[in-house]
Amino acid sequence: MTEQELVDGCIREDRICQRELWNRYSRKIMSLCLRYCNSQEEAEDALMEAYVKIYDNLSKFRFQSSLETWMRRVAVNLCINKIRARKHIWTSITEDEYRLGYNDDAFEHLEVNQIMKLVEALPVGYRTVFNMYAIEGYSHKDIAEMLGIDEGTSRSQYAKARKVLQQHIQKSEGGSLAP
Amino acid sequence: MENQRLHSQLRDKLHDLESPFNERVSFEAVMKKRERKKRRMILWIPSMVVVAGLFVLGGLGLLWVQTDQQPERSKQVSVAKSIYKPGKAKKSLLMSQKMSSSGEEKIAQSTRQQEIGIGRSKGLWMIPEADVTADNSLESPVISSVEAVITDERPKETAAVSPVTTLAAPVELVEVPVELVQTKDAVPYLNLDMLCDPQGIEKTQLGISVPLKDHAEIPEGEYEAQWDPALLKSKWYAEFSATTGSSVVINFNEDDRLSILGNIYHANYHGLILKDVGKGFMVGSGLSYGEMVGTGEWRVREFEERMSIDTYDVVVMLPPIQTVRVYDTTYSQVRVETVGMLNFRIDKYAIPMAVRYNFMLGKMAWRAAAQLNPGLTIKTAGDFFTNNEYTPIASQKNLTLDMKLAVGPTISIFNNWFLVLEPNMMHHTFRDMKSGVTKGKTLTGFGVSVLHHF
Repeated sequence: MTEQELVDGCIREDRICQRELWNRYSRKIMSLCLRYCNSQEEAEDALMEAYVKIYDNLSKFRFQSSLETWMRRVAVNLCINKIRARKHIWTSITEDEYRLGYNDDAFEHLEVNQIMKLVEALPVGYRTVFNMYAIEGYSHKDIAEMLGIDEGTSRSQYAKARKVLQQHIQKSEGGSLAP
Repeated sequence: MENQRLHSQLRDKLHDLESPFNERVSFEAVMKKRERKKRRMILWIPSMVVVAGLFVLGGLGLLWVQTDQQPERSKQVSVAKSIYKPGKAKKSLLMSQKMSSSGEEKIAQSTRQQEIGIGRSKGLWMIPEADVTADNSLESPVISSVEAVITDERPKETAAVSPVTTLAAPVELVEVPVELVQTKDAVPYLNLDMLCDPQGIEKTQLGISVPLKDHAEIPEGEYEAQWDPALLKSKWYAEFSATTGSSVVINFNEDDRLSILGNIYHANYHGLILKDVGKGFMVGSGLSYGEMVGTGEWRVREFEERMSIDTYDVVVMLPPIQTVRVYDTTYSQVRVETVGMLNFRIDKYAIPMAVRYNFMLGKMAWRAAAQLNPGLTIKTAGDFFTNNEYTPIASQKNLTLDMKLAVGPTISIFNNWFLVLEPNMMHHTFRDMKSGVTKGKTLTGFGVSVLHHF
């Protein structure tokens, strides 16, 4: 079933197509939600809510990006709104903190699950910005707009996230996360 | 470059990652959740219709109340409430002298009553009705978590690539999506679930984050090419609002000479264009029309001193037998209440200056509103009244300034449409241009605003 057929079927409320959409993408969206949410339960709730929105708004999908990209965007927005509703306080950092070095090769040696664990262990502010910037590919300007924060705050959150990740990786080199 | 590599590694590893979920999460559960949501919407729409209907009925009711109060000559009623005789006063002597000089001493009459000013019947004074016309008739008889709608579709703007006019052959116009023509100005569009920036998304301290050069540039690549075009979010909103309110004017203070009993109503309608300025705040302006109507009655309670003279002819049986006229003068205080009707109407246009603040309380979006409405009256009539005074409004064209404070929940009704239910307090003031007097009244009530996000 092509994406076009899938979308058309879902718009027609065809249960087979709707189920196919669920089966095809739900685990990937769950992975995304896990990266943004604090717990498995919260991620599961976000997943279901995201799918409700996806089914309700599929008619607005114009095939200008892939269906998966669009669905991920819906899920990211939903997770961000949940984070905003939690009234998370975003903090800024100094320039010196921002310029701290970082070993980019560290991730090469880590398994996917280990990276996920590290990302999930980040504080919510760091995690959100890190996910949006490093993984989803938003620019800091976009992140600032979406989260209602300054662009500088977004950058600082990202820098702090990198720093914390680096510390975790250094700690875990001799521990359980070591490859 | 380091960043690009890091991001690339992460995306490669995480993008296609699939995570399991518990049994409670299933396609069927999602469908049930969706059905529940639809049912809520089905219940919500009729309730909104009912609210709107009540609102319209309220407005019509207000109009009816106003038209029922036609301007007419005000009736006045004077009632003698009580009489007491504080005792004979010294004035009796004076009256006695006056009467004795009239040469009527020989009139054989056992008792005669004289009334000064008003008639009397056996100790009870009847005060004639005062035919006073109130001057307050009116000129006019009429007294009268939003659903996140995420689309990769751009707004309907298109840029037309026009053909060169010198071409002989007809050239077909080609519509090109704006994002292909201009993407630098693209603004994030995604966050429609939130009406505005709620509280709590603020940094706690000022920090200067000067980006490194490799951080400053917007990452490029396939991801960004897919994401950026749809990230459009307008900062502009349109608001249409109707507000009503009332205030009961009543004075129970028996010591006051003037008491006013009445009701003042207002209805205000405005259209605004608002701009989201960040941090949950929106500012804007537009046009407002308002009516303020008052109906009631005034009551003046006064004590009048009345003098009555009773005359008696007493026959003195001692020789020589003669008749002596006795004048019995009595002073009394009588409480007199005079009542009249009051009406006023003030119609005005104003240019509001509005500030809105959106915030979250739990999972509910709320909005606080403050508004100043400087404007001009287009029609005034009658007597404006407060609890203890009423004054005629001398001029038709007056300056007005209304201040409104409101707070209430914000509810998503459709895509990009929000409903705000706003209990409010509105202070109306106007400055009478002829007398130079500023009058005002604070009314409390309820308002409904519909907000559209462009």
